[in-house]
Amino acid sequence: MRRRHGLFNVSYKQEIAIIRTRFEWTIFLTFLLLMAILPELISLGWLDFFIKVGITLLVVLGLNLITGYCGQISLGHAAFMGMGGFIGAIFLDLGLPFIAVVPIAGLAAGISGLIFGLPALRVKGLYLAFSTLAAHYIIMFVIVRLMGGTHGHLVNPPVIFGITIDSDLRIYYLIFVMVTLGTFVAKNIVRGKAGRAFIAVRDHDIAANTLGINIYYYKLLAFFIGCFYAGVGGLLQVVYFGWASVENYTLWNAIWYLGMIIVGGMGTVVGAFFGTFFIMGLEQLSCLLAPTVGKTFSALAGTVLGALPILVFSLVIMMFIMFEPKGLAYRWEIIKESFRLFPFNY
Amino acid sequence: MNEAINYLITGAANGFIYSMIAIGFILIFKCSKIFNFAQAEMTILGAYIMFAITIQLKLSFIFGILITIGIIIILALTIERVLLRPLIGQPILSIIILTLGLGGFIKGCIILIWGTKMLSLPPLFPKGGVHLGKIATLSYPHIFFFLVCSSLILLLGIYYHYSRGGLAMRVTADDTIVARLLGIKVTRVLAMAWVIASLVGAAGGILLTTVTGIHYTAVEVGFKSMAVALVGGLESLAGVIVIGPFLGIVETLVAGYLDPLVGGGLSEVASFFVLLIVLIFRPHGIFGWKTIERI
Amino acid sequence: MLRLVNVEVKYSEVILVLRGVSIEIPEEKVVCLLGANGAGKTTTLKAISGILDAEDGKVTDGFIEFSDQRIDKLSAEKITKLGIFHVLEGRRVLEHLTAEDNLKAGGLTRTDGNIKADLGKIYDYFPRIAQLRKRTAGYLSGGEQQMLVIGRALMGRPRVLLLDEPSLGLSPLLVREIFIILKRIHHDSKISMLLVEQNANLALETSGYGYVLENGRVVLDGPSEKIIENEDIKEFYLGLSELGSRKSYREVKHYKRRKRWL
Repeated sequence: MRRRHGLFNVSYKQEIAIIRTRFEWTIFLTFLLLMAILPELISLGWLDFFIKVGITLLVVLGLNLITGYCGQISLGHAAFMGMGGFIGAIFLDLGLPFIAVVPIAGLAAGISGLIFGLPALRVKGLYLAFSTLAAHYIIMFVIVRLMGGTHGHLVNPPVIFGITIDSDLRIYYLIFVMVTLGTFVAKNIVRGKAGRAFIAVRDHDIAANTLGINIYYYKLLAFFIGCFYAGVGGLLQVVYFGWASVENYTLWNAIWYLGMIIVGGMGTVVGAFFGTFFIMGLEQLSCLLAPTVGKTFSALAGTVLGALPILVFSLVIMMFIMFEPKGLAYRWEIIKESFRLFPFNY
Repeated sequence: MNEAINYLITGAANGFIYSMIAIGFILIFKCSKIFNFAQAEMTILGAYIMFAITIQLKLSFIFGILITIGIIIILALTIERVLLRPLIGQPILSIIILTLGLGGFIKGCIILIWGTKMLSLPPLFPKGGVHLGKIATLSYPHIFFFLVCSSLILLLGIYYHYSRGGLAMRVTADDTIVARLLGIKVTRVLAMAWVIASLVGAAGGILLTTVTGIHYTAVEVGFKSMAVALVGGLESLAGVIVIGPFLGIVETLVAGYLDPLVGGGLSEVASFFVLLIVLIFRPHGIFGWKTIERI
Repeated sequence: MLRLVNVEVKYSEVILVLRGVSIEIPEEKVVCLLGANGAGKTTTLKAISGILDAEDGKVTDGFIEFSDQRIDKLSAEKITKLGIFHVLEGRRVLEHLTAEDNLKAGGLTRTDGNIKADLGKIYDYFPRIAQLRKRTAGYLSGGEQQMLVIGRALMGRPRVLLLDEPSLGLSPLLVREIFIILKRIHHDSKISMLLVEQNANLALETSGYGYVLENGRVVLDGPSEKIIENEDIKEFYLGLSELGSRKSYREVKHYKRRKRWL
């Protein structure tokens, strides 16, 4: 990320600071404040949207670490989310407190990420995408067979520090806290040794190996951390829906998550935010517009509601790959730069 | 014992269906190193177009075939020109996402135009099949699949390895810039590969849907065909004809013997298990090209 | 005859690489193009063979002519079919094909059927390749790969051969061997060659005429014998000091000699 001209870093601490200037602090705190008082500003229908965005953000942050920073293509991310969701549901049913179930769900997903990330040590690129595809099917099979996936699990509202999380508002705040935490952890990983190692592995793993970076360790670490995030996201989702069901974890979901990091900008934490908000916003929009479209083109088979989000999403993804492959985060940097350099061009 | 042989035969017959669709993947990958995730959707699209022509517009069968061929060719050329030519040499993730997006787009269009109900074409084959004693029955569609699939692969294989056009395709697959510098019109090679792959896919789709009925979820077969393509190796046509029936047999055997133990569902993932294991031992598939990397 | 007249090449519309380069390759002659890294030598070859578009490059001024036909706007395949064969930098064999298939690929532009005879001739020039003909090309050593790509280009019966740094990364012995074969080929079939080389000594020995490229401009050109004698070339490209002897780095004073052509 390029900081403003005239800003000099005189210490390492300054160089890797997540929030460097007072201006950035103001922006950040304003954003936090806005998100905190959001429920006051919007109607309840939209709260559902923001909750879903928050859940997806955690999952996408994780995928961004695996694919965006470490370069390991993972089509199985939805399955890891499902792992966290179902294991979380089972343990919540057993009566464990929510605080304890969070790491358990994360670990379950993380460990399955480790196991199914093992092919990453052997294959690269397209073939890795396929191993993760295979992983998706196998994990979903395990979930369906061994965890009662076809019936789903009823999940009771969890109790944290004595407060029962049983309303949308409370779930929103819970998710808000977790997403903030998750983002900071992700930023910390990314600016430290692990983050640099990930980027090295992504760019040229053989060369990274010759530099002494243990690529096997870091590839597996990326999978573990990324899937941990997915697991926690899955847990939050089953808490919100009150019900763990396999329909939320299809291959199509995994493709959506990948699409979000592409649209947002791979390899940047803020890109995960851009992508998730943009894609889910588009989905919401197309759901809202579907009835209108259905009325105007009544010759169509009346399944506009089902087809329109898919169509819009696919089209958007293709457009982005062709015209803006570095995503919205890149475009945002260019916009910022052009404002800084105004009236010059470069 | 009879049961086992029955499984073997039906499994192999099913496998040829996968092989047929897998040919499409191999053809396009061999020439352009692009894995067309949308191949399954294009396969189904062929069936839908056929349906539209023969049932909705009530034109004759021959007309249906001709118009479907025409539409598929135009579609393939457009996709190749607009979407994929700019993407040669791009990082693999872009290609994966683009073809996935294309697949989704086609699926969305299918749902939009034809809805989600199951449709069916008029049956192409007489009912019943060839009886092999008391052991098994090979239904006519299966026999047809086997014949079409094997002859296609034979023809394509001969073309690839013994003709100049095939050599041009192999050169393009390896290095497009060198291909241009050797006088090969890369754009034409790629367009041809796409057209052939799409036509083969559409034909496979039409045959497939006579057995399963036309529904957009038939794309699940596409993923199994992907497994076939990968296990065999993405550059190998010969691999497809061997691995297709092999995975089909694995699937039916698992369905017959292991599924009752586990309560079902294992046969679906059996192919993917095999895929994982093969990828660990032979990362490029059994017959695929190894990536020759020099630092 | 191949001619570049005032050719200007830009990458991504902003990076100016060639600034008005004029080069002539007469029939049946070997011309060498010298220059340090980044001078624009490879870009010149790419402009001739038409593959600049793969890197977002364009000929923005001037023109390129071959036998009185403008070729700067033609596609790479057409240029190759006219008889201009470009041997890329860094060998670029077709890795997964066998050596023999590589050679056959070189003959794809030929419409006559004499491929077998030409294969024999190539094996005659490069006996090492003959032994390795069934091996996968990607596993050949650097020198063998270089011989393979030269042979592959020759299979097309070219009229002009563009060679980009054939000595790159090869041992001195092997380089000498390859250049002897190149001289033999030129003697036998009288193909004109444009030889881009960093090894100035070798290039000037093998060629009849030379151009020196610096920062996208031709700064010196002339018959190779004259260039070898040129003081500036001796100092800056051949590593010889004014007295014609090896330079002792102890006494190097960088300001001692200025380039007289600037």
